[in-house]
This record gives sequence, C-alpha cells and structure tokens, in this order.
Amino acid sequence: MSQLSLLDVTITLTGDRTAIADGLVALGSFAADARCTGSATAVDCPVAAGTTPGQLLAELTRLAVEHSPRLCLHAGVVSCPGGTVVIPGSSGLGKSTLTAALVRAGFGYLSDEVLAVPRSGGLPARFARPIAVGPESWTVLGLDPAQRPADGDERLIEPEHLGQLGVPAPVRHLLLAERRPGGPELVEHSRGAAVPALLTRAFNHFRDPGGSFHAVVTLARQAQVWTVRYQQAPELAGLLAERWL
Amino acid sequence: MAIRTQHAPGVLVEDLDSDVCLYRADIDEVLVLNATAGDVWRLTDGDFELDQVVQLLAEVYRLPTDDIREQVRSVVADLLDRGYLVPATDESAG
Repeated sequence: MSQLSLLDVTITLTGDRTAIADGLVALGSFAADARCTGSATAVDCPVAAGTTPGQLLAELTRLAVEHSPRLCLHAGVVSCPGGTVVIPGSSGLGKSTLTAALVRAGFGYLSDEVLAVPRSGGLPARFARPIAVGPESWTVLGLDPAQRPADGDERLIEPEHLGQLGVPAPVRHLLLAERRPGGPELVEHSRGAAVPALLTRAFNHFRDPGGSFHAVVTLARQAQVWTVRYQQAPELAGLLAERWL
Repeated sequence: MAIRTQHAPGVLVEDLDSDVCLYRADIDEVLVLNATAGDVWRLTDGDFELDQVVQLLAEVYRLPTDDIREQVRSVVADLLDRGYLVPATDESAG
C-alpha cells in the first residue's frame, strides 16, 4: 500500500500496482518527499491500469486541494531572499512556464499550481510537483532541444532539473500577470487589487468563505502587489531576478 | 426624495490601506472600493439621508455639494443595485 501526505491530506493509492509504481518513480522527489502519513484527513486515490504519471499527478493535486484544511489558491509560487512570490492565475495563462523561468533564473521552487496557506495565518506549504512543459514552453525556457516533447504532448520535469527548491517564507510579493507584446514591466499596484485576484482563484474557499476572505486580505496586507506585463517568461524572470535576488 | 440606506446583512468588510474590500459570500463576490467610495460606504449604514452624506463629504473634501452629488448618488445606486446596500429600516437610524 502506498500513502502520500500532501497539503496535510493522507492519500492512499489503490488499484493497479504497476501504474502506481511507475507513477511514483516518474513523480520523483515530489512523491518521495510526501512518503509519510499521519494527516487528520485521509482519502483514497484509485489508480487504473494505464494511468500515466501526468494523470496521476493531476488526480493527486485535485484530491489534495479539495480535501486540504489549508486555503488553496491556483498560483505559481517561488521564493526569494525577501520571502515568497505568488503569481495567481488560472490554467492556460502561462503560469507554469513563468514559474519554471523564475526557478531557472535563481528563485526557489515551491509550486507551479498551488499556494496553500493555513486559514488562520502562517507560512505557505511547499507543493513542489514536477512541472508539465509543452513543446512551445520547452523552447521558450531554453531546455535541451533533443528532449523536446512532440506537438500536443507534455513532459514532466523534476524541479531539481530547473534549479533549486525553495524554503517556505512569508508572502512578500503578489504578481498580477498580464501577457502582452513588448518588454517586461513591473508596476506597483494597490493591495486591494490582489483580493479578488486571489479569491477568485481559490480551490476550496467554499468551505469557509468568510474565513477565506479574511485570510486573503491578510495575505494582501503583508505583501507588495505588482502588475507585471510580459511577452516571454524568461525576460520577466530576468527582470525580477535583478530586482529581488 | 429622501434616501437612507444601510449595509446589507452578511456583507464582510476589510479595510486595506485606503481601499475598502467588501465580500458577499452568498454570491462569492469581492468588491474593492477606492478611498472616496469607501467614505461613501462608511456613511451609508443607516445614520444619514443621502443628502446628508453628500453634505458631509463635501465638507471633508472641501468641495461644493453640487460637484460631488452625482458621484455619491452613483456609488450608492451601484451598491444598492449590487446588493451591498439595502434601503434602511427604521431600526437602523442612529
């Protein structure tokens, strides 16, 4: 029996042993670091024969954020010497590519998908899952062309291949990212703008909407809020590295 | 016509720098008011008629009431329309 502890949820993998074993190997350090038990919340994750590592990762993420007692928000998360940098965003906006570019630029990797904070305040969790990179992002990130995934495909990259893992620290920068042609720009914004940007990206705030609202305001209150405009993720990552590393 | 409003029940409020953040959990919506709209919000919880709110803000901002009346009315109308304010009940008068 395989159990993982993710975001304070114990997830028991059941079903096809081969798919489970192959999946855990492919998920590398993310799965290895989660090999412990004892979380108050426990759920099963049935794994069918033929389940790919990418599908397993998606299901583990879904279960963790759905059942976590933490407030979980859709965001890329990296660390820098001053604290944690959060990029809230929905799927398809290039959040994972930007997160990967930031890690390659020297930021510490915490997650490409989830900001998970205790509802009563505290440090974000590290949820350092492998990053799924498609062919376009592969090229933009300057990764080995020989390993480039085929069109329409994605390849999971262990974060250690991009840079270093981050150490959770208080949230200090919230980036409201916009893609647009031209060079990268960083403009300070009012903290209020971050509140809807964060709350609308919450996975599980429905459990305690009022408490989640207050938690999000607390996050915004402790951070600087920035609008960042960029075309290519590595250019923005370079600008932010100059400023904050 | 005299208009008096109060904050709708259940609206959560947080001050954040000069902004005021409002949250309606029933529709899962956040509204962020800038400093001026936030002042309107604070004065529309049952104590004052709309004309009094206009007068008070005109004094604070040192502007003629005619200059801000429409803006204040517009903010109040929007907050009423979106359910953050409701018409005041008699009990809310302070």
